Amino acid sequence: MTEQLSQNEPLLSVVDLVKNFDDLCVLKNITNEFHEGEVVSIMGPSGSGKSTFIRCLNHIEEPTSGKIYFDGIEVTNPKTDLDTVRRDMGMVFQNFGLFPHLTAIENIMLAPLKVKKQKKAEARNFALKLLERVGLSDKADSYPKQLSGGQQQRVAIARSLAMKPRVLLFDEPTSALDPEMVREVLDVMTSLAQEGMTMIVVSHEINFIREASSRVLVLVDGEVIEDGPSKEVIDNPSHPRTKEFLGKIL
Amino acid sequence: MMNTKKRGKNKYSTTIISSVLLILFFIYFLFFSNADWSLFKEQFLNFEKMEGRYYIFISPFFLVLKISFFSCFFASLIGLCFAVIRNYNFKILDMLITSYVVLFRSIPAMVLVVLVYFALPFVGLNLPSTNSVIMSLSLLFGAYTTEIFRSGINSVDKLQIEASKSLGMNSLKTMRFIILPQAMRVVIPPLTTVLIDVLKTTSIAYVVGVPELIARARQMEGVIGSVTPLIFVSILYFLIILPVVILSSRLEKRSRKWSKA
Repeated sequence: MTEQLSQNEPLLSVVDLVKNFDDLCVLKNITNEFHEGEVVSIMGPSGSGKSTFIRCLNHIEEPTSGKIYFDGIEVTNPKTDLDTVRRDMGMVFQNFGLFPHLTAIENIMLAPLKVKKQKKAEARNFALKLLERVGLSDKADSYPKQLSGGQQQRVAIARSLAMKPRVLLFDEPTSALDPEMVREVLDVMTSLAQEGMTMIVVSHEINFIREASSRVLVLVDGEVIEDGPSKEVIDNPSHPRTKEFLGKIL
Repeated sequence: MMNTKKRGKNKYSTTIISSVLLILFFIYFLFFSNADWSLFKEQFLNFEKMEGRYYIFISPFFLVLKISFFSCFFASLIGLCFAVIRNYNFKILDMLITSYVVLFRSIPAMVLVVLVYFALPFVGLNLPSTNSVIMSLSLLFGAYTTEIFRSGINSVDKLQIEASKSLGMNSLKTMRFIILPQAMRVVIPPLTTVLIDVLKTTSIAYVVGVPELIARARQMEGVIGSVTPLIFVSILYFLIILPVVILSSRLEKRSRKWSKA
């Protein structure tokens, strides 16, 4: 399949992805493609499988069946070295997942030092740049517990950027935040999107989706019921379930 | 921030209050009770009788120090390794380690020391008495430390492992740089208790004829007709245990820096 599309090969493609938890079918045969530079949002009611889907992409969750290709490599192949694949796929979690025993800058430097074997000075310089970019230069030596939720999430974004990933996966990055902190995280994400970062974002932040993302998938009961340009889907949804869902969150 | 300060202050004052109470308690007994303290002193604190005999404790002291150090080291190493192995859920290894833990937690220390020293030669393993004590204590307390390290590893949030993996860290690096440093916070207090227990259990070495502190004290007790040597030896044990306690509280303080902000 990927060979045929060599001209415009997708960065990430998903073929017939199925995920079952015991008897519960969470994802039902999802097939989709994500191209370089695209910012794709995934919305849907809770329990629809959004998080499971994005977690399957970097194989943090093991799919029941189906195939996932990243940059031509089959992620779902048991022989694939997942650690190598994951270096190029950053992930930002709902509950931040910062390492509490390391300071902000140590969190950012860890993977470049231990995985990419960068020199300390080099890793530190880049980490400082990233902190500056997320607006937290003054918090380099703070421990996660000393930071607010919004600050922690911005450090988490900086941490995943430190590996210079080709795609960033966001799993409800603002859902655990107090309302006044959502803005600062979305601002960082929007600027990343504008710079051309490939992003897949599970989110209900309508404004972000409309402004920053190019395409939106609506996931209901493990199926993609709508897939189209963000503005079109939000302003003019075609599927009744999408209308119902948007009516609830708007 | 407020919380930490309050807690720190509380802890400080309870230590002071409890020590003051303890001292008052002793003063009461020494001066206000009707007990015959001169007799007590003659029996238990008769250091005059020990004069010129202190040198006898020099080599046992270093022997106990040596047994303690290696037993603690190997017991911790066994616990760490087995707990890490159990984390990977290999069925057969899991079963082996679990049965090791069950078995060695239920063997009395003295029995194991005797078995290792007197029974192992039958299978061709002749250990010097000191080494057989080190081996026994390591195996015995390794069973405890395995459980301690395991609960420490289990206490680390699953999200930490996911976050580490998503950065491309393999499971060994995740263990080394993410899980173990965080597990240490939970592991240190119970580990300290067990290691202190190791230090005190070294006295069991006398059953295989190791000239350790308690055995020497009891001998001297017979010679001079006073229990004072046992009291003196307790002080030596305290000296051996003190660095462990200090090290442990240092490590705990270090983890408090990030765990309570």
